[in-house]
Amino acid sequence: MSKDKKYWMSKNEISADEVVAGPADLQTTSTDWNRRDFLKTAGFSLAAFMTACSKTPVNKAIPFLIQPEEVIPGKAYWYASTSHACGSGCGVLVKNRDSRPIKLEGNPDHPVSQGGLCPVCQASVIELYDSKRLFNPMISEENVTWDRLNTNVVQGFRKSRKNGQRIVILTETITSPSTKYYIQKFLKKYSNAKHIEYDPISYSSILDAHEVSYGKRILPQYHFDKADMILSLDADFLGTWISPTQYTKDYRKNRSLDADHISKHVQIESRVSITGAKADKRYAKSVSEIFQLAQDIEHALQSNKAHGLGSELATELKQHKGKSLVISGINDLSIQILVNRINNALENINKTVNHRSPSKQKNGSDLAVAQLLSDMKSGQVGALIIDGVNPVYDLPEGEQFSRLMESIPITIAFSQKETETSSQCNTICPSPHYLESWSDDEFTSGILSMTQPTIQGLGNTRTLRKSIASWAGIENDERILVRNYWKKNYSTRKKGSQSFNRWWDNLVHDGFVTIKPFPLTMGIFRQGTLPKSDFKKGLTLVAYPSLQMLDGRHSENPWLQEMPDPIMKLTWDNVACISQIKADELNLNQGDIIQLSSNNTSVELPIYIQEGQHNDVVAVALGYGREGTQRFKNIGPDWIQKKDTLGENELVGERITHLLSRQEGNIVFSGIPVSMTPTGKKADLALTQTYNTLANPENTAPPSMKVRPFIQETTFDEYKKDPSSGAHHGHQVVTLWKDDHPYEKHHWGMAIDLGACTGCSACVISCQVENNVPVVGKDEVYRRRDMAWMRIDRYYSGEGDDIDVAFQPMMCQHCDNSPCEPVCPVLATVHSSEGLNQQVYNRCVGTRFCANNCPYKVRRFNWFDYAHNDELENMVLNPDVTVRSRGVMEKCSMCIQRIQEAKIEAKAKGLPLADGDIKLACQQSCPADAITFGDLNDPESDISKLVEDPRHYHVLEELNARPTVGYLTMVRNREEEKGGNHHG
Amino acid sequence: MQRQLKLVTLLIFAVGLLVVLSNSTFRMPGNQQNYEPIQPIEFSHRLHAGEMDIPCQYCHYGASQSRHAGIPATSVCMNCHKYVSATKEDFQLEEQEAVSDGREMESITSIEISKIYEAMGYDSLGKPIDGKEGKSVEWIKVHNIPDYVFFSHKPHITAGVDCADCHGDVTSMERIKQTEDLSMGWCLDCHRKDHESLEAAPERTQLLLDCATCHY
Repeated sequence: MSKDKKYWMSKNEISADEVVAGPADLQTTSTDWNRRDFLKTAGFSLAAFMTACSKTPVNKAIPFLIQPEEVIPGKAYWYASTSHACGSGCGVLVKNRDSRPIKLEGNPDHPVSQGGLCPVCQASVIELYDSKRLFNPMISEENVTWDRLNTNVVQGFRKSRKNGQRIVILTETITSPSTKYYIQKFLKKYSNAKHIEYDPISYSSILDAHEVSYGKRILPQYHFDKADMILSLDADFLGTWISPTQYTKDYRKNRSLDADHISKHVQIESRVSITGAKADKRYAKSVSEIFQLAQDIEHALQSNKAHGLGSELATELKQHKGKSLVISGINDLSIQILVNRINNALENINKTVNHRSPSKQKNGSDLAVAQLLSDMKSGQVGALIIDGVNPVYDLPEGEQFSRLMESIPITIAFSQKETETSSQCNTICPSPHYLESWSDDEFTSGILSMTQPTIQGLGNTRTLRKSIASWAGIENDERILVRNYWKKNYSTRKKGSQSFNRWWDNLVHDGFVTIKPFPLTMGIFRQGTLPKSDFKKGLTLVAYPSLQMLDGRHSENPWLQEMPDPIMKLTWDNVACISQIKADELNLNQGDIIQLSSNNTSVELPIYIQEGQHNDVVAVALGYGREGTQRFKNIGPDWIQKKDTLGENELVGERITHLLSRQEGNIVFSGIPVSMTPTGKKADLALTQTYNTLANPENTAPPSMKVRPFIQETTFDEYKKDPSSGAHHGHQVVTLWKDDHPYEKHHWGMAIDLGACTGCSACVISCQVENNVPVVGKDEVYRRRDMAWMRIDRYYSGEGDDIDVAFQPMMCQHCDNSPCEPVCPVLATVHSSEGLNQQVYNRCVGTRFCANNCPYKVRRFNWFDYAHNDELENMVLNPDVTVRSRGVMEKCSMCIQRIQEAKIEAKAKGLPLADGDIKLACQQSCPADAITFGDLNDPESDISKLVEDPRHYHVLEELNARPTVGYLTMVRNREEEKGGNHHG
Repeated sequence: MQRQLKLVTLLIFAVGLLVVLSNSTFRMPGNQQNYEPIQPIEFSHRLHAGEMDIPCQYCHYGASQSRHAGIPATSVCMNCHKYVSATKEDFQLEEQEAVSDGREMESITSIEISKIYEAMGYDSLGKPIDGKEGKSVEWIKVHNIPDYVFFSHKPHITAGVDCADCHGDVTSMERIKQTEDLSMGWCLDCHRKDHESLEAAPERTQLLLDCATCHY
C-alpha cells in the first residue's frame, strides 16, 4: 500500500472538534432545571414510592392440551424453506421455537443462497408478526367471508366478459410453476383475461435485448465464479442487482488468494455502490459517459480503432476471452444490446453468461404495463387483479394509474399490507407471509425451491394461487394445489427414478431439488440495430434501489429502516447525493433541502455530500415515501425532547418514482435530466458515522514510529511477492499487564477478512434479530444513541471522484486486556475463562465508564426502555437472549447463547466440541464468508490458522488491549500504486 | 389533643406491628422459597411420583432435551386417566355400596380427575363430546427464575444431577413446593463443588463459574 494512503471516515475528522461536540442543536446550555436538581427530586420520589412495593406476580404455566408429536417446549426446530423477500429466491433454514419462526439463515446446501442471506431476507421475519397486516378479506372496506368474496368476484368477471372488457392479472414475476399453471387454467376459462408481469426494479431491457440479439426473451444466469475479468457498467451486483447473495458467493470463489490469479473487477458507475467499493478499479462516470464507453468498447473489440479508457478495457477483456463478463444495470435497451454484442464478441456465451439454464428471477415487461395503461385509458379493462406489485407507487404514471383504476368496476388487490394501490381497490384479498404459506418456485431453471409454512396462518389469508384456482373452478387446499401440480408433472422434469411421494418428501425436507430445465433453443446471435438512445449531458438523476428498501415493499420493516446505508451511513431517510464540487457550486451544505425537478414534477430532498460521486449525477434511493410508514410516527422512546421520525410529508423519506420517464417503453431509472434549486430549508440527517469513530492519536505510537492505520491494504501482486505486504511490522508493545490469565479450555477468537467484506450489512441485521437489539427511531440515531451491537465502519481514501472505499465490521473486540473491565465499579463487565468479555446486565448500574474507556466504541447504553408493547411483534424475540431494560450497558456477546447451546449439545452427545460446530449469527449470514470464528486453543481450527496468516492484524494494536477479534489485510487486484510499503 | 395522642399511639403500634411481621417473613426480593400455591387441580406428586413411582421424565419429558422440563400436556395425563377415573379407595367404597345395595357397580369419577376430563372437553366419564373443544389447564408456576438468568435443564440431566437436588423430595409432597431459594449463591454452591460425585466422567465436568454461563 502506498505510504501516503490514508483512509478517513468523514470530512469531520479534519476538524476533530465537531466530532466530539455533536450536533449543534443538541448541545445543552444551562437551564433552570439541571441534572443534579432532577436527580435530587427523583431520589426523594423514589424513596417515597419504595414504600408501595408490590407482591411478586403469580406466573402461570399453560401446557399444550394435546401433545404435538416431537415438539418440545424450548427446543429449536429447523425447517427448510425459500425466502420471498427480495425476489432472488434464496433457500433458507427457518429456526422455529415453540411453533413460531424467529430467525432465518441461509441454507448451505441451496444453490442460490449457498448459506448466505441478504439483510432484507434476514429482516423479513418481523413482517410476519406485523399487527397492522391485512388479516381479513374485504369488499368496499367491509369484512366478508371468502365465499362471499368469491361469488362477488366471479359475478364481476362474468359481467366484464359480457361487456367485452378485459380481465387483467397484474403481478410481479411469477416464479412458481404451479401458480403459472393455475393462471393458465384461469385464462382458459376466461378468454378475455390476460396476465401481465412487471418488476418495480425493472430488468425489462435486459430481457428485451436478449430478444433482439438471440430471439428469446430471457434473463441469463451470470457466473461470476468463472469470470477472470468482470466489467460492470453501473450494475450493483453485490448489493441489489438480480441475485446479490448468489453473486457474492460466486464472486468470492474466484478470489482465493491461494490461487495463481484472481478475478479482476472493474466497476464503472454513476453513484457510489458497495460493488464499486469492492471493485479493483472504480471509475465514476455519468450515464451518458457510460453509454459512450460501452460503444467505445464495442468498437475497439470490432475494429481496434478506439482510444482511451474504452480501448484499454477492451484490450484487457480480450485477454480473457471466454473468461470475462460484462454486465450493465442500466435499464436501457441500447446499452443492453451493446453488452450482448460485447459478451458475444468475447465468446462468453454459455461460459460466463449462461443461456442454457437461464434465471427466471425476473421476467417483467415495462412495455406491457405501458400497454395496460393505454388499455385502461380506452376503458377496455373490466377487472384488474393485482398481486405483489404496487403500481400506484412503483410506476412513473402512478397518479394516472390511480385515477384510471376508479373507472374499473372490479379491482382486486392481493396484499399483505395496505398499500397505495390496495387502498384504491374495492376488493382486498389478504395474502399470507411466505413463512405461513406453501409455494414451489423455479427461480433459476433447473432448481425447484420449496416454501413450506412454519407457523399456522395468523390471519384469514389466501395466496394468489388458491384464489385464481378457485375462480377457475378448482377448489383445494394450498398444499394440495402445489402437490397436485407436481404429481402430474414431476415425471417429465424429475432427475433420477424416485417415486413421487419420496421425491416430494425430499423436496419438502431439503427445501429444493434439481430438475430438468425446459429445453431452450436460442437463436443465432444477431447484431441488431441500436434504438436511438438519447442520454442528456448535464445534471442527471440516478434513481437506484437502496440495499435496505429495494423497491419499497419492505418500508414498514423497522429493522431495515434503521439499518445504516453501507455507504452513506444514513438511516430513516432518502437524500439527494451530490458531489462536493457540485455542492460548492450551488453553495449547499449537507442537510440543506433542495427541490429536484424533472418532467414538470418535483420533489424536495435533503442534500448529502457523497465522496467519489460523479459531478453531474444526483443519486436518490427508491423505495422511500411509502404510505404506511406513518406508523413510525411514535417509534422510539417517548420523552419530553423527542423529535419526530417522519418528515414534513408524514412519511419516511420521499417518493421519487414520478420523476422517472420512459424510453422505448422501458422505464428510465438513470440519466434523467433534472434541475436543482435550493429551498433554504434544512433537515437533520440521522447518520451513524458522525460518532463512535475510532481515533488513533499520534502520541499512542511507539517512539519514532507512526500510528498504524485501521485499514491495511495491499495488491495481489505484492501479496504474492510478500504475503505480509501491507502489514505494519516491528512495533514493540510495552505492557504493564502480567500474562497470568491462561485460557485452559477454550479461547474464542474471530477474524474478519477485509478483502471479502462487501459491506452488505447482512451481519448487522442478523445480529439484531439474534440478539433482540431494539429499534430506537430517527431522533435517537441522530442523538447518537443507536443500539446496534455490530456496525460496519466505512472508510474513504482518495480525492474527488477517484476514491477507494473500505469496510470494516466493528463489534466488541473481546480484548484480553479489556480497557472496559478495570473501570467498572460493580464488576458488571468481567472476563470469562474462555476469553470473552462478558456483560452482566443484572449487575450493571449504568455508570457508562466502560463505554467511555472502550477504544473501539462498541458499547451501547440503554437510555430508555425501548418499546416492546406490540404483543404480536414480540413473538419475534429470541427467548434465549435477555431483553435489556433501561440503564444497563450492552454489547456484542459473541453470540454466547450459541456457544452455550453448542457446548450443551456436545456434552449431551459425549463428543468434544468440533471446529465449526458454533456459527455466530453474523458469521452464518455473511454472503462473502468474511467472518471466521473458532477456538484459538485448537491448533487445527480455521481461526488458529488465520491468526498465523501474515495478513492478520489487530485494529489499534498499539493500545495493547490485545483483542481476540482480528482483521485480514484487504487485497485488491490492481497495479501497484506509487510509493513502497510502509514498514514502521 | 386526646384524639391526636390516640392517633400517634395507633401509628406507633402499626409501625411496630409492621416491623415484627416483616422480621419474621423478611427475605430478599424475588426469593420465593417455600412457595406452595394452590393449583387448579389438586395433583399429588406424592401419589404419582412416590406411591406409583412414575419416573419424573415420563411427564417432564423436556428435561433431558431442552431448557424447559415442561409441564405435561393434558393429553399426557389422559394416557393413564383414560382408564383411571378415581382412586382405588373410591372404587372399593363403591363396590361395597353396590354389594350392600344389591346393584351393579357404577363407573365413578373423582372430583379432581373430572377436571382433567373437563379440560379435554370430555364428559364426566371421560368420553369425548362431539364438537366440544378443550381448554388447557392453567397451572401456577412454582419455580420462577428472573428473565436475566438462562437456566437449562438439559446439561444438568446430562451431568447426572438428581431432580431432587433442586426440587426437593417431591415424592413426599402432596402439593408442589419450592424447597430451595434458587438464588445465585445457591447455584454456585453446587457449581463450585467438586463434581466427582456426579455420574459424568471428570474430564467432562468443568467449573462453570463464568458470568456468561447463565447471564446473557
